[in-house]
Amino acid sequence: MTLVRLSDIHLRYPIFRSGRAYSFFRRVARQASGGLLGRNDQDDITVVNALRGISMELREGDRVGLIGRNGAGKSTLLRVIAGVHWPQSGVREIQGRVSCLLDVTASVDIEKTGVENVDFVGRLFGLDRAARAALMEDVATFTELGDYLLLPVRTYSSGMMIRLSFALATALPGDIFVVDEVIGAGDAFFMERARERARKAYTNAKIIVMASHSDVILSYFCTHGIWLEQGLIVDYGPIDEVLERYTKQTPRFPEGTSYVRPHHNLEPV
Amino acid sequence: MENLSGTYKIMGGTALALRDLSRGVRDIHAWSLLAWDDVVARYRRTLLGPLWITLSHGIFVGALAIAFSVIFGQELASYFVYLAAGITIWLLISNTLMDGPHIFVRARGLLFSYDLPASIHVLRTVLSHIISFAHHMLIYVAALFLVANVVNINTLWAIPGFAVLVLAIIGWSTILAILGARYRDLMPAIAAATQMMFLLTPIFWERANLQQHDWFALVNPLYHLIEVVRRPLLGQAPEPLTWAVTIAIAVVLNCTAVALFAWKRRHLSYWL
Repeated sequence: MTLVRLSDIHLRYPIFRSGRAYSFFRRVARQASGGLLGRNDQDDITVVNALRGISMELREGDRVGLIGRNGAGKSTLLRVIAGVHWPQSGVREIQGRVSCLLDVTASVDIEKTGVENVDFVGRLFGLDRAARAALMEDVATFTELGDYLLLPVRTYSSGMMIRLSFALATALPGDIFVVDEVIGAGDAFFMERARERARKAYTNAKIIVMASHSDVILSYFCTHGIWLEQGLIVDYGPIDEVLERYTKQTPRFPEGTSYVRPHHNLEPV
Repeated sequence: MENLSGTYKIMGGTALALRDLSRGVRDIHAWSLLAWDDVVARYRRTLLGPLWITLSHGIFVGALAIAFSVIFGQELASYFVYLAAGITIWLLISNTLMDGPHIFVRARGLLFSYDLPASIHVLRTVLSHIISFAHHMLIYVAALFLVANVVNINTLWAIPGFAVLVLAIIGWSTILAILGARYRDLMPAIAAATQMMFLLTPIFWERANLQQHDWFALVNPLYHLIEVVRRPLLGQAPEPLTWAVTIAIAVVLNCTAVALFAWKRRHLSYWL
């Protein structure tokens, strides 16, 4: 069984506004002088309350799109699900293996060629020679990068980079696929193929969670939507209904809702 | 690569950090692969490949040996072996000190892309420096054959000595990796301090040169960390004081490292 269950997740993170906040010696001087030297940390560090009590439960077959303005907490929530960010409080329960695509350039080594990258990731995840060859075949077919795969990734255009990262992230065995805003709306051809591939990737009833600002992409990939506003879930339900309410800016739960199970969207919570 | 299927919860960040450590240590496959990849990346654009590391090190040691044997008026043969052993060990120490603060910063991509433990990046970096160290050691071995063979039964002490040194290195690499992720001005300070310590530690000069100021070497922890491997390589057993100091350093550093990692692991992703 595959499951994502978040219970009352609260997450704050610091933003270091100036270089001073990164200085070890300034910190030591402050500490040693009992706060006399140097400015207060609060002057240089802003704490962002990114998630303020998120509870949700996703089950097999859920394809969920996160909707919301910039800074609403979409990326942070994806990073919590992916296990990158560790929230200050709350419970994260995951059954199944998570594979994620949060940052297009992060998962590849730009100094390596496409082929070397694929082979390296295959090795990292313990695939044997035959499985790595199959992975290479799979990635080559999907990306259609051809001879570009033999060039260092730093020579790729951003579109080519997305294709490679997307192919790699979806090729690895994963039950829960977490995608941040990486699939540009422009390349319709790629989108069609990406959807085909995503469909293939979750034939075993997997969970997909993705964030996007594009209505087209969201209704293309997702069955359900979750609307985030300032770190709270203000609405959820079938994707088209949530998108409609989002367009009108009329959330069902302006104060935030406590427990979200998108597959039970008709039940009052 | 451990399969992560199964239920796990984020509750205590400390418990999860310790889980990260134990998963990381056990994932030998991942960190050895990454370490080798680091080494390959280091010589990717060189003509001689891995031999380049050895050759450049050999030229460095040879030039220094000839220059200082003239300056200090020492016998070249024994001084060459002393230098080949000492500088090689020093290079391992200084490289790991200077690379430490970069460990998590450099691993950001992998940390944000795959569900791999963060601790593998410490072990991977340490191992990659040990692989380079092994290449450098060829110069010492060549010196044994070509210049003076000083190996005897005492040389076996190098094995436990090296083990203690590596433990200490893992300790400071972990600590520096965490501090380096949070504070970005650590690296230049460490580079400057390391360069100074190269001059203040008996590496290209000998402790005997200090004469009545012997204490100057004995209070230097880096001296003991070098000696615990260098003495055996020169055919002598390390002093009891050296064992005591190095083992104490390894224990204290690793306890500090585990405590710091358990305390700060949960903040790591916000700093990068």
